Amino acid sequence: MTSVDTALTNRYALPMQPAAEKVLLEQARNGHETAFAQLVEAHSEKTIQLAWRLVGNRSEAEEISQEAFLRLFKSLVTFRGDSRIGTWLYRTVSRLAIDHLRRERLKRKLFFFRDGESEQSDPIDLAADPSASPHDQLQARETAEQMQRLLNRLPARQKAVFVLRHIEELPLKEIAAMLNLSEGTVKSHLHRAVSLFRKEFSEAKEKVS
Amino acid sequence: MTNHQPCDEKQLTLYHYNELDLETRQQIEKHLKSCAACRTTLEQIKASLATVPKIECDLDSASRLRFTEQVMARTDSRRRIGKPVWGGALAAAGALALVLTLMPNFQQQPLEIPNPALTELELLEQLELLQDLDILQDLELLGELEDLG
Repeated sequence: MTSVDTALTNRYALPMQPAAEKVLLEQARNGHETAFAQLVEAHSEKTIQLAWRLVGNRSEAEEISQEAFLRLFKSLVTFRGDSRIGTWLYRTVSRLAIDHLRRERLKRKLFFFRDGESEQSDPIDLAADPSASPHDQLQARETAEQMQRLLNRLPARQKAVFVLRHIEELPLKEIAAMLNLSEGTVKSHLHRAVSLFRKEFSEAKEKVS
Repeated sequence: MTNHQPCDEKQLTLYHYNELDLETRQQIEKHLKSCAACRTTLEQIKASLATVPKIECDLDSASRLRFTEQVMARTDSRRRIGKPVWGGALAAAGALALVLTLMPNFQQQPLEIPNPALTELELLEQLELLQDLDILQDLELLGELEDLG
């Protein structure tokens, strides 16, 4: 088990026991489709969730997740099992999502589209504290929407590093390994993202007061 | 960041995420006791990050099944596509050999000059093929520079 595996194991209830996963993997390698289907079903939720958090859109997240599983299927013969399937999928989804975000941004730049200001229509956990006053709830919701828009505007890698550290709670060392970046670069990406969130939040507060 | 160094927001970010070694962490804690500005910055970091929304994806069993079926259908279609490609290639090669045999005076026709004006749609399709092109990284870098002003 690699250090990335350890990080994931520490933070999540893994969808499948390692021994069971190994058996299914072996069966899938030998052409048992139901074994591969079981692996897909077990890992689908975590994979879609990560992709959704990275690209901010449910249907695109499912598309990216499907591509990741298809790549796993194609790699079954060469998949040595040095890392867990979950780790492999996390790495693949993160990289696919970064490529996807870059392509989308390039399209917008080329065709002068607006930069995703109002495209977030998926249900997000924006629930305000129910014990707060209606005014405070409205304000909290507006701030959360503002933060979501900022998250959508972050450069692809910066966004990936932020999501993997802040939301997925992976250590920076593991993120650097997953994205094939140096630890220093990952730290800089995180710092820039956090700095933008802090400024946006301060400005929003100033407006209100 | 120590008491003798200027305040460093990056270090505070790493402190917040518990990404510093013990010695640096202790230095920051010591500095925070005497620096009100850094304490405020750290509070702002914490407060702003607490407002970042978190997408939760709860797939019910029906959705998981639908997703799995979609993946399996695509693995099937890839397998099906794989076979006729070879069959088609062999058939095409055979047909070409037959044509060349039956037409000894076959003369090569000039190639048709493609229309240089790609439509936007075609350009977009080509963009889909871009996986990890340097230009994308450059654009991202430019974006980051824009953000920094």
